[in-house]
Amino acid sequence: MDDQSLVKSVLGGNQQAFEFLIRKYEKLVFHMIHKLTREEVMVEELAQDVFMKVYEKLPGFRFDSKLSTWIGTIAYRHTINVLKKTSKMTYKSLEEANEEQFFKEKTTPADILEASSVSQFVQKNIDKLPAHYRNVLYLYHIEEMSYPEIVEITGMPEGTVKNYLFRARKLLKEELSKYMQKEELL
Amino acid sequence: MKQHKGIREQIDFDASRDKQDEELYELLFEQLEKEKEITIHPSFSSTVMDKLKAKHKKEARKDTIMFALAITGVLFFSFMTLQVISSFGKSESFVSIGMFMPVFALAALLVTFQLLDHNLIRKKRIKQHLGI
Repeated sequence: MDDQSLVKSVLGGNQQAFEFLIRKYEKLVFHMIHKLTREEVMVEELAQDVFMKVYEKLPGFRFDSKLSTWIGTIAYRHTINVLKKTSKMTYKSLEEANEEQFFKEKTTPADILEASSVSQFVQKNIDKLPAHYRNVLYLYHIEEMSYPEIVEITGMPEGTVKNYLFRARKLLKEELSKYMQKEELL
Repeated sequence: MKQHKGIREQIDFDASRDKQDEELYELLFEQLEKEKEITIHPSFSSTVMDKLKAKHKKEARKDTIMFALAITGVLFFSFMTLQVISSFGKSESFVSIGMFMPVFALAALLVTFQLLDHNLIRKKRIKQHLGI
């Protein structure tokens, strides 16, 4: 079922259609929330809130963008708002703290030895990145979204999105280089 | 093709790159496109539906209470208006009721607003959204 018929069906009162919509986009929502907050406990609760908001706001959705982008925007904004409310710090300072932490937590020889594969090593390093970096990486590489779509979801200028994306990859490449050196030594 | 486009942009961004970096970026991009496993409970969608139903029930109950209050207010105000009209000529009763007139007027305004908000504005807006 395409998104247009799915939305029409939900608005017509078909509850099964909304359950189908949830199943179609739950992965996107869970991943996005997960990238923004490391609190595992919060993810499911926030995802439930997001889909409740989607249901309430659906009558106002006019297909000006893709349904996935629109749902992603709701997920992003809701998570940021909750993070702002629950954290004593502002979100900006939270981000700065994360970035600082990343540089402190740079890969140690033990990290390199512990990682059993390149995939595991890269994933571990992605998890160390600041939330915005992780999020744009996910939207660009996994969801295959375009820059304008990421801009719409995050509300960040295109330059900032690109900067986060390029910077994240550069940081990861530097860490990956250390891992590959170990591989060569073994 | 997106993978190559991304790599080209990245290489252009990384001013200090060399041939080895380009190979590392190739490997990194391959890894970045691998989705990390995430656990989603199979009953997640039905949990959301249950929560929605509970919320709608609560809202419907609240709307019923508000509507009942609004109707009570209208009836009460109508009764008081009739009292005032019927008390014309009976100066004592008129004065005592007249003292409460601002309160009644305010109550009437609130009741009218509630009725308009619930029955006209909200439902009309929803119908507009639905394209009815």
